[in-house]
Amino acid sequence: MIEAAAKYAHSATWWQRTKLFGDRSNRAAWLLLLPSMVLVALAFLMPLGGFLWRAVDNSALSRKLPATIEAVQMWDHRTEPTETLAAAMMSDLATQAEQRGGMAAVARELNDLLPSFRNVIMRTGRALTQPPQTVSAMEWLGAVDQQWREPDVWIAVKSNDGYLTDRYLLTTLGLERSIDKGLTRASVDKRIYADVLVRTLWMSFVVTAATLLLAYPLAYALAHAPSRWRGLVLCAIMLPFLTSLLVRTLAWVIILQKHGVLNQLLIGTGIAERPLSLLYTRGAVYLGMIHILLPFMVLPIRNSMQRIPPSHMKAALSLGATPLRAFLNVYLPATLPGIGAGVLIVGVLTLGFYITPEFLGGSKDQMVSYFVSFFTNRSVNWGMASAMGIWLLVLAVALVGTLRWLTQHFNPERQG
Amino acid sequence: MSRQPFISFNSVSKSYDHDRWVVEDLCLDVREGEFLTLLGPSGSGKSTTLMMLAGFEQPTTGDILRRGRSLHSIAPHKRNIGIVFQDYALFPHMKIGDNIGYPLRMRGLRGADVARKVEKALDMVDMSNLSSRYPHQLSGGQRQRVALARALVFDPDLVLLDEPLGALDNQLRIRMQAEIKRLHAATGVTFVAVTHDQNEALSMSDRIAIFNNGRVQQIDETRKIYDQPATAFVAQFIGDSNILPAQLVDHGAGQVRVTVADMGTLLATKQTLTPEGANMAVAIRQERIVVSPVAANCDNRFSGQVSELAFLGDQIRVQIHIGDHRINVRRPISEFVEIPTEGDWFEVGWSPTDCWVLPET
Repeated sequence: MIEAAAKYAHSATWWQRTKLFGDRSNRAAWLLLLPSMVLVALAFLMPLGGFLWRAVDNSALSRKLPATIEAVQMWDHRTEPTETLAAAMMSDLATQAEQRGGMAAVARELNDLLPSFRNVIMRTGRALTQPPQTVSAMEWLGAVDQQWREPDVWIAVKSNDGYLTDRYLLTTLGLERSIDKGLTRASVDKRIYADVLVRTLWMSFVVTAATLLLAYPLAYALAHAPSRWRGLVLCAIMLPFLTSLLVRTLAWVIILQKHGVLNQLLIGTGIAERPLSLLYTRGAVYLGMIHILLPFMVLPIRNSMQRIPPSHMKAALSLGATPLRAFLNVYLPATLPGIGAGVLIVGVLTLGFYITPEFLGGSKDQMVSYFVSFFTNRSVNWGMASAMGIWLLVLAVALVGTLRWLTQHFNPERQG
Repeated sequence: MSRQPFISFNSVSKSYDHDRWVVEDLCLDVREGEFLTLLGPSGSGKSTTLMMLAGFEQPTTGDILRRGRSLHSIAPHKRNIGIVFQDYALFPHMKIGDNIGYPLRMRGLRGADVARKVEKALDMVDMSNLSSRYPHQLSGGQRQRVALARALVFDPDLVLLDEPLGALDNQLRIRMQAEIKRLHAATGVTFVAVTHDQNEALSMSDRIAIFNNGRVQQIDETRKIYDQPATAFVAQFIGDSNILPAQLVDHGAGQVRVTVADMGTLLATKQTLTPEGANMAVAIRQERIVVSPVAANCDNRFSGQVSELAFLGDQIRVQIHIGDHRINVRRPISEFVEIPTEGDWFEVGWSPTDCWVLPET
């Protein structure tokens, strides 16, 4: 034994003895993994990192308005805007005006800091085609638009003079950083994103909890029903899997709409007198999401149920536990891993739900994903889209982390 | 005996599909404090009988009585019966101490009372230092002990053991047989075990009930089951016997003559109580058959060709073709003057007292 071990120790070089590249077959396995790892890195990690970077990226402003940024840093914001600022701005704008799309880019950046400033920039850009002769820069700008004389725009630029910014992340939390007062609550119209985050969390919680409550008895039936029923129930649960998410959501639209199947049924049976507005409500969103997510909860729970030996419940009963206590003390703990897996899958999926709330919900039922999509596709504010995306990621990671911690603390088999 | 039996099965039958009886017309008494084993091949109804006693199955007809009172309406958790399952059924998320304390907590005991009794139970099975382990950290034999301690800790009226040693290796099984027997003697609780292993049944039980096809073939003290099997099935299931279909020539009891097709007339012994029926058989234990040259002195002696030969360490088993029958003989090596080889002619014989006339089933 010892001789063999010594021989082995001599024959193996240090890197052969490390677990990572232990032997030839192991190296071959890593080689086989390489393409998929490269794919993950190129097609997933890099775009993801790039997208998330935009939540804090402020380099566009410094690139477009280098002279202004420099001038603003020297300026004391408690005083009136100076001629130096105006001159710097004019030279920056003149540079941008020569480039195709340059003015539009500046307009977008500044509009993001100061709503309605796009028009000011575009007007200034048009005025720049007939360059001023003698007047001072500030007088000329003030003549084009009165807003140039106000300190607001200069303060806005001064508070965002770095390469990084936290304004997107703060906005999504309903906060604002002002140059004097530090962090404050944002104005009411800007607080909506914080509400969206809370709403997303709450909806995700409701859907996950409701799915769990519905799925548990269903999983029990699947695990313990006579085998001829089992196939039927399994089929009923799995069938929706075969149709696309969009089709299933649209099916709910057909059922719930004003003159839809459900309303006709309610009126036909005399339960309701006139059509109820069922569509575009929170209830409709919950209904659709629970229906779509149910299989993801049922299957892992059923798995854990099927693994419980029948003798365990019998043992609990024979030891004097009432059926309810036997269930709570023995059966339920044994299904916790399945519940954990189901909650994890459904929780993470609900956080990112987009199509179902979009089709079945009203404006107050939209979740984070809706706004990510809104900011990327419609308002082209990638900073905000990315900031919302970051919170989505943080929530999902927090959920995974919590569940991992819970399973490690309450599952003795893993403690070894 | 005027006293009521502790447990009694009153013509209990059980069918799951109203087509085939799993247990048929079972009448069986369990005496207080005894160790009774239900022995039979798989599918013979012994496990169903145990589950009916535990309350997990209800008899289709008939009734089970405890001290004269029907168990029918008593739910499993109110029967006060400890069960040791084949897979032990220890709760994986509870420590050993909590597993054993579980029945106590279910009975309303708390804190120090539970701790004291758990400690005593662990002591009883020599596991005192393992209270804070989890079941998956124990070996098979240790789990078995914990299961026993848990089934005994709450002073049950009855302990049921469902194939208790089935999952253990051979050496451990023999040790645990002795251990279970010791626990039975120490606690005085009535034990009812189910097994398909005759050695297990013989080594542990006071009495054995032999099951076949849902019916009890014989229930008797362990020695009697071995020495006086009631049917050919019992003779074959307990000990290794040669069973030959036979027809009675003489009637009555004592030494009788029977004819076996292809072999001729044999002298055999018939018990007074053995019924005479159409399907009779003679049973001869493998180890009671003697080989040549001693066989020459026997009343029953036959020659045949050796068809199989097996060395079993200190013994040899020889299979001999006599007519259409294969007779197995197992004797110590020292008795063989010359060890035969396959195809040799070989003479064997047995005394009429070792050749029992029995009904076939």
